[in-house]
Amino acid sequence: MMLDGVAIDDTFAEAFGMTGTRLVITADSAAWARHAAESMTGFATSIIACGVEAGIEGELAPGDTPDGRPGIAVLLFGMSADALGKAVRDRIGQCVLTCPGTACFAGLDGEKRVPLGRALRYFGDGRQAAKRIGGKRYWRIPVMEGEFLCEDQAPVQDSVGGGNLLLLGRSRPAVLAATERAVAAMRRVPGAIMPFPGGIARSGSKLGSRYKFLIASTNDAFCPTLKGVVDSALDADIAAVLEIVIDGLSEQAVGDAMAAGMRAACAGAAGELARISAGNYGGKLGAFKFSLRDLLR
Amino acid sequence: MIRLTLKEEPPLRLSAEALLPERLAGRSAGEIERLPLAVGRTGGAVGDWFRVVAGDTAAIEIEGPCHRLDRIGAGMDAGSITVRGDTGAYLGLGMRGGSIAVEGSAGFGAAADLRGGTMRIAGNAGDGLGGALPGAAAGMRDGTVIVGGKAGAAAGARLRRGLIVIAGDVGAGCGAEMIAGTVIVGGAAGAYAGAAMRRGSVLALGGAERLGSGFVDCGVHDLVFLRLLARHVAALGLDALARRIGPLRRFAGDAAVSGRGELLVAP
Repeated sequence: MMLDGVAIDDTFAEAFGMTGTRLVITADSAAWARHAAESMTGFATSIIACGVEAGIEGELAPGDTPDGRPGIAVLLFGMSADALGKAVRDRIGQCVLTCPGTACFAGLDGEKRVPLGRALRYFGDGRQAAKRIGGKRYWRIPVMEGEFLCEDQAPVQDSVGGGNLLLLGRSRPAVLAATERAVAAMRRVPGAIMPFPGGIARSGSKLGSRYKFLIASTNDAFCPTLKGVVDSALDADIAAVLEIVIDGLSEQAVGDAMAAGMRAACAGAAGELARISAGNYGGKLGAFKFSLRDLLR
Repeated sequence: MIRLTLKEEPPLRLSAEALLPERLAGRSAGEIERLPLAVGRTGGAVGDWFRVVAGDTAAIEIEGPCHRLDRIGAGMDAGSITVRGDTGAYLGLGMRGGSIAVEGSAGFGAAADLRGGTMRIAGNAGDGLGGALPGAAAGMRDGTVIVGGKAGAAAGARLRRGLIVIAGDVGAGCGAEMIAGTVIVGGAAGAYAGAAMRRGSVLALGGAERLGSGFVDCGVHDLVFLRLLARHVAALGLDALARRIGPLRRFAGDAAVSGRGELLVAP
């Protein structure tokens, strides 16, 4: 299958079940909401070493936030509700509570919840106060500039992590430009994030290594400098490969983001982007399989 | 809708607590007229006092000279009651759900011991709005009460949870012995608002007459929770009042009882 002169491999991305949540961070300005959101979603690229995968979903206009101030929606994903809850507690405590003017709200509805303000309230040293407004409970925690307002709990839901695209190009600048186009398009899909820096990973991994202590190692089949050395998946004209990892609140969100990314990457590729592929484990490990060609049909 | 029209003003107080949507469900007009309804110590029936037009049992409309009708909507769980006039004492006493709308004013103890639901009083409310029954540790425990006019003394006394909004002035002791919850006063609060309050918030947007000595001035603050409260008040249809909720002067107290509540007063 070809899309704008780019070969789409007959393969699939293999993704896994995760637990996800959406939080809304507001502040006096969009800039300060973004400071908190970027800090909170930092070092959250891979569950392997970061404990949680997170990213900014999008900016919210004042009319779309609970307190009528500018806001940022962030998505966080963990392997369980417990693990996600601990990460959320720590990240809000260190990155949002500390940030001038911010407040933090739940961004989903649902019965299954992780603690937000109820886990952080003790910072108020007994001076914290609960306030119920419109059926929702909030915590008011006194801080040096006034109060930090945080919703009591945040609903979580079954989500999908590890959707991915591999973009193979004939030059490193060209594949980077194509991948940037893809990420820009994918960021417009609600309910999905690309947790790596700039939404892009250059160090795709395979399971296992020759070292007992290392559970994942470089995806040598896609390393252009190892063509001819290992059992390479790359043609002779491939100079560089970049990966986009996608986490979403639903299978639909991940699929929509992958399709949007492929279309944007191929549009105007002008022959420099050769192929789009995806990483999988033979379909044996993940509960979700995203066929690249099916997504584009 | 079931329409109950009071034929004449009762000579004594009439307890209307039997006239609930859930109790009238599935009954014909004749059956409703035969339900017992006593005046004072005299036995009688609904039909002795009301003309009944049966209809949708989820909604009851009461009209006529109702200011001697006590306990309208007491213990109500669901449905709606509309009163086209004034009501007597203990409107919605212990109500758990549903809605009550009064086009006139309400007497003593409206929303006392309220557990849930929504009450709207277009006119004024008497003393003890959302208060506690004698000897009870807590007053209103949840729900929303909106008063379009003024309220008497001790509005929100021993409030445990929920929201009381009074567009006009309130009498003395508003929020006295409050345990939690929120009272918003659009007008002026009478003397000793929040006396002996433990937690909770009393907003006095038209100022407070005389504060107890157990309150400490913490300065004027633009608190984020007030933005949420303003939006909620606007969603209740009180836009003009919502627009007045902004930066307020916070008085923490009541220290007389080691309380951690607050009076938020227009600066």
